[in-house]
Amino acid sequence: MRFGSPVQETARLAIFLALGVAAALSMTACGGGGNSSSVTPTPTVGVVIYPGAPSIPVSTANTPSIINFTAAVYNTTNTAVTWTATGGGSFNGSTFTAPMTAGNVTVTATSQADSSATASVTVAVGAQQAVSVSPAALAVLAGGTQTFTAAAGGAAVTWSLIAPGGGNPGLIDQNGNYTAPPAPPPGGVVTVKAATAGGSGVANVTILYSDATLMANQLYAFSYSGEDTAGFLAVAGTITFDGKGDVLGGEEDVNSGAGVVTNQITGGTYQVGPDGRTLASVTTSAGTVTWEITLVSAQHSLLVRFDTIATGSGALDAQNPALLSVSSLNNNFYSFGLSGINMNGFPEALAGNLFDVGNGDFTSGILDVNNAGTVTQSDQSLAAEINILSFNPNTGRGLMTITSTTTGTLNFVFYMVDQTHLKLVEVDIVPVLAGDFFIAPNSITLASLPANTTFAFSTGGNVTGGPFGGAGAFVSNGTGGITGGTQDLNAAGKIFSEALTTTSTYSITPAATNRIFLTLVHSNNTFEYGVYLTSLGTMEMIELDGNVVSASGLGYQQTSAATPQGTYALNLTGVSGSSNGNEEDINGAISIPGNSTLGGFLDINNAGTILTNLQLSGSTIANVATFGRGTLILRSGQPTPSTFNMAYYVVSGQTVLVVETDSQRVLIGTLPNQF
Amino acid sequence: MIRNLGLKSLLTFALAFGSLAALPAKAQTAASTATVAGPAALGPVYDITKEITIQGNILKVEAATGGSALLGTHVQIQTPEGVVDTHLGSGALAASQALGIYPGQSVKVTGMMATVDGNSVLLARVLTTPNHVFILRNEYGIPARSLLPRSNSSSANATKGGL
Repeated sequence: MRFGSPVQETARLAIFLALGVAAALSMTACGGGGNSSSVTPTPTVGVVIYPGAPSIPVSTANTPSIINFTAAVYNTTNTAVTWTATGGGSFNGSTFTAPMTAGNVTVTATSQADSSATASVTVAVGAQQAVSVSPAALAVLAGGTQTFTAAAGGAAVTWSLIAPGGGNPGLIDQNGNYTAPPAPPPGGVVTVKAATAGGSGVANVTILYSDATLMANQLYAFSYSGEDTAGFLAVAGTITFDGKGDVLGGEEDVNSGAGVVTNQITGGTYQVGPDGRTLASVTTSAGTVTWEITLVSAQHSLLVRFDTIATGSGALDAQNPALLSVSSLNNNFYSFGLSGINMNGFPEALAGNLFDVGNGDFTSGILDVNNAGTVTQSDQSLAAEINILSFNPNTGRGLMTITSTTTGTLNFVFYMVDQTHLKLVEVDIVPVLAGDFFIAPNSITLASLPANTTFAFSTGGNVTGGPFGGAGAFVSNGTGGITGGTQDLNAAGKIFSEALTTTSTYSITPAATNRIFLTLVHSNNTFEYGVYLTSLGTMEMIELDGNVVSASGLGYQQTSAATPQGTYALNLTGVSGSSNGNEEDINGAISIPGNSTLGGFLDINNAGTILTNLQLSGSTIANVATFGRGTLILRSGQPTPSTFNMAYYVVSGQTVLVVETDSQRVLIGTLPNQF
Repeated sequence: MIRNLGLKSLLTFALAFGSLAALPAKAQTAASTATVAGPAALGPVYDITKEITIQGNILKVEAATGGSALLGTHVQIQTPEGVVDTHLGSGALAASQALGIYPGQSVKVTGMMATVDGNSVLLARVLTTPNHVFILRNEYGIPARSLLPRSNSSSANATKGGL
């Protein structure tokens, strides 16, 4: 998931979606003089049980079969719970002992702070195993340790690990001492096996995110954009953690109406929750900022600026120290997308492609610009240059200028993730653009959009009535035709769902360039995009028509159209009607068990109104229909309105795109699979 | 960005946009209303040649939170011809506090009439209050999204703020 940047790209799109949060972010819901103040309601107490659906063998007269349960309790300082079992078995504290007969047992944890807050799981008690492993099931924090014992009648035991879904299962020695991996592997469960000559037994270990998932001394590049009290805000930087809850250091470049500055990150703390939702307090030379980070893996996380004076969305990506050099970019093409505000404070977006000829010099560029509705296509004067002397191989930070006839010279700071990905923030006072460079193919043809291949995409921008967000899918035929597709649009709260007609086309325009001109035709509108492919299965998109006056986005080659199932991180970004159209950024962790329901928690920064640990209840997801499109509804109880109606587009088992389809908000987002 | 200008700057902006002085002084009839082109139109297409200028007193400032009205700040302006629902934009930059507007205040608005869900609304591009001129949309109708003016000086000269 090093690339794993759909959410980062979504955050970039939010630049367009979000209108200014001007005089004070805390003045949410004050606009227009209707409501006088915002009220932060108290979230209800929530309880989650780990492991979630364990299976263990029956107890025997000599060998109890036990589960060490853990309960996460939210929104109260009293995190104690009372454990009960229905259907057999017993509890001693949080340790459950299975009955001596097979069957299902319902285990319930009841909050001692609020007896109405409960959670239940079903324990499947099965047949006795040849070797009894204890504990038979439990949850272990990522990077944590657990000692297992085996009742094997004195026989020699060989310990081993299996990650049923693949990935890193952790380590175990031959004394049964287990060390969990830094992040949950696919599926989230590791099987610990104790084998003897006469048979074997297993324990199931659920791996929970922990402070260790933000790996000690690992460089992480981050970027986010949003709004602060001075208006548009774009930030990029690098940060390291100690894997134990402390921030070690780093630096960031901030472009705000309050100034364009480089801040040193001098310390801070963070706390990772079991579902990957993390609060970080980051101390900088300019003050302390708060982040909500939702971990996807040890390499990739979603980031929301979580202060009352600033909000925004972005991502955190592990940097590869071995590739932090200007020369690692040599002889590669890069496609990029940048967006932000122009010199007059109106939205502007750029997308293009160029070639690194060496020494940080980029040539052979081509560029599309949508400057608040003034569109320039195929500007081939584009070039860029890295100031080699400015580059710091210890942090991946450097300076780059991007020059074209259309834009003039723009000055950026970039942070290198690796040779495939740079995060950029402009350090000019005006305009202010931010975005990403991604490695791109050397050349493209019509077959670069292969036959019978679906591409899912999302875009954000503005219509005359206000913010715009859209998501859709189209099917290429490999020869310049689009054979079908659909699109869901939220134009300032007005919702449209439209099918593409087969008169939709794409071409390499101008010829022999790395630019695709894509035309998506609906019954009443024609959408035109400049498209720049990356080598990572994605495409930068910039809207060039007058339907949506200004917009840009990211597309993905679809590799699966199956209805999502599993555990996902979530980022939504855009604007909310409840705060008079101010920016709203949401992170969350949700589970989709496969029975048309959704569960989990959201953390929301609604223009400075902070809401944490909002538990989803009554949320649903419908199966995919065509083109990988489906619908889902998130219901969180808060804020008001508490229902988020969404259309979703599946990219793969790892990524899902969403757009809100009601009049209450204009949000787009992504759901990267956690495990 | 909302340009927060004194009246001395009005002439400059009028020249820059080439239209204020030539705009009609009062609300026009429905003949100048831009209507949705078709069921799939994403919103009114802003046509600067159809701009009008109205002048009157603010009756009410409202925040539309969704539903049939355009999301964001609306002001009801009493003109000699009637009350005009005027959409200023969304976000805090279009809030009454940011613009310093209040009921009873005399204002002048240049924009384009549009029909949204059957209701006429003036999409405000330029709002003139007794003390300020605010550019709320550009010539394509795109709402502004940054409040504080940023100077054109070199970034090297900027050393304050940034958190």
